[in-house]
Amino acid sequence: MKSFKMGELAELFLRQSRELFTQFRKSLFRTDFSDTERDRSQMIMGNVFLHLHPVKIPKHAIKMSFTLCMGGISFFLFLVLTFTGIMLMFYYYPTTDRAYYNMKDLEFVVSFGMLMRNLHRWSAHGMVISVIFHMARVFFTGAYKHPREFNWVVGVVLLVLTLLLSFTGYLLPWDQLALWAVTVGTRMAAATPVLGYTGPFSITTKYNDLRFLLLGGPEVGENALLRFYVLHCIVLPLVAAVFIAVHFWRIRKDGGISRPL
Amino acid sequence: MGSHEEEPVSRRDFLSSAGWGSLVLLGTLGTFQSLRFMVPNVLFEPPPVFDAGKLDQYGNGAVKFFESRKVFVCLNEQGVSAVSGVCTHLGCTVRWNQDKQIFECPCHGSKFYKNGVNYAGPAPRPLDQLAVNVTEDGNIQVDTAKIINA
Ligand code: HEM
Ligand code: FES
Repeated sequence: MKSFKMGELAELFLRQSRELFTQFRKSLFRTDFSDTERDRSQMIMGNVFLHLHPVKIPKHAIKMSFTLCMGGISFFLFLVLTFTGIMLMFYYYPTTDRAYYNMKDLEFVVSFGMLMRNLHRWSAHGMVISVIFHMARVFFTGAYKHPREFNWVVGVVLLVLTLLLSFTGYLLPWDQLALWAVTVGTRMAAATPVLGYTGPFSITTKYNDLRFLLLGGPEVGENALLRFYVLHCIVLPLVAAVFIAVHFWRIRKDGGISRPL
Repeated sequence: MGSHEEEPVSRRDFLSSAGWGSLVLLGTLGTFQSLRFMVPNVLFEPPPVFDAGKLDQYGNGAVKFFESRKVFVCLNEQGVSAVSGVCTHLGCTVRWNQDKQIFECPCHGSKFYKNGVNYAGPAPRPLDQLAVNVTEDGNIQVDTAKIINA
């Protein structure tokens, strides 16, 4: 049996651990990195999170005075809203006898509950504002013109989704403001031509028109709260995420951010 | 981050460290805050002490089950006792078998005598005995928070 000196042992240990580390690093990053143009592109493309970014962008695209980062801020707020929204879901029951008290608990009992609730509410207000400013920016810079007409249309869908998210979320606190705002707001659905019971050429009643379908009943009640909750927490965020992905993908396919004149 | 001490920190390096520094700081605080948020401060549970009815409503040898509390209140010669219905094996709720006069667990077949002592199946120890108090006007009160294993 071969006997080892201390020095040899230490060297063996070092070599082994270095090999282990290399193996670990290679399992994470598939290629070696040296600071060249090619490797920089590789690094962006080979990473599931970074590959959402373009490998290169033209210099003008990072000019803040052109985009005012309004689209970027909209997306950031969307992420903030997703996170704080999931946190609020841990304490919220969408039932008429509990919802309002859950909001009070968030304000007075849950640690940092007030912070989460207000982050969610203010970010929601902020997102509506930033999306509208973003749309104005796109309009005033003429960025909606060919080849970006399609992305303008995707944008309009995103604006509608943003407003629907606000509207459905507004009912959830189940306070007087929520109840009457949605009672009033859904009168619009009742005023739809033909399919709304107060609309022109109506062929429906209060019990089978579009408003009835939206609320799950003739009045804003338990069904309406549950419907708005599911729309607000699952359906609309998922649809919005898909459209945001398409929006960003299209920006790249359209040749990046439009050029300042 | 120059190697010489006289070399001033460039504006770019300063802003970069300040930016990353505040991100890390905010991230740390935010993580702490989110974790604390997840720990509830108030629980929606019934209070631990409950009324199990009047003493004189119990016949001798009676065993009454309080389903929402998972507690059996028993009366016999020795007096009133409250036996926890939570099986000491893996926590299923035991049932009182009136014919055999034993507690049986439906999950893995543990069996307990009326006094709560286990005699068959995997249960490692007797059922918990809970604190009972009979008030002056003859009300039985059980405190599910107080275990008095005899
Ligand atoms: C959820 C809402 C929205 C998000 C998160 C979003 C996000 C973005 C982002 C990050 C950009 C990159 C440039 C910038 O930051 O300005 C962009 C570009 C663009 N957006 Fe939006 N957007 C939204 C809604 C809208 C709306 C409502 C419209 C118009 C109806 C719109 C139309 C466009 C167009 C045409 C571009 C390309 C602009 C250019 O190339 O200069 N988007 N969007
Ligand atoms: S839990 Fe009662 S026997 Fe296993």
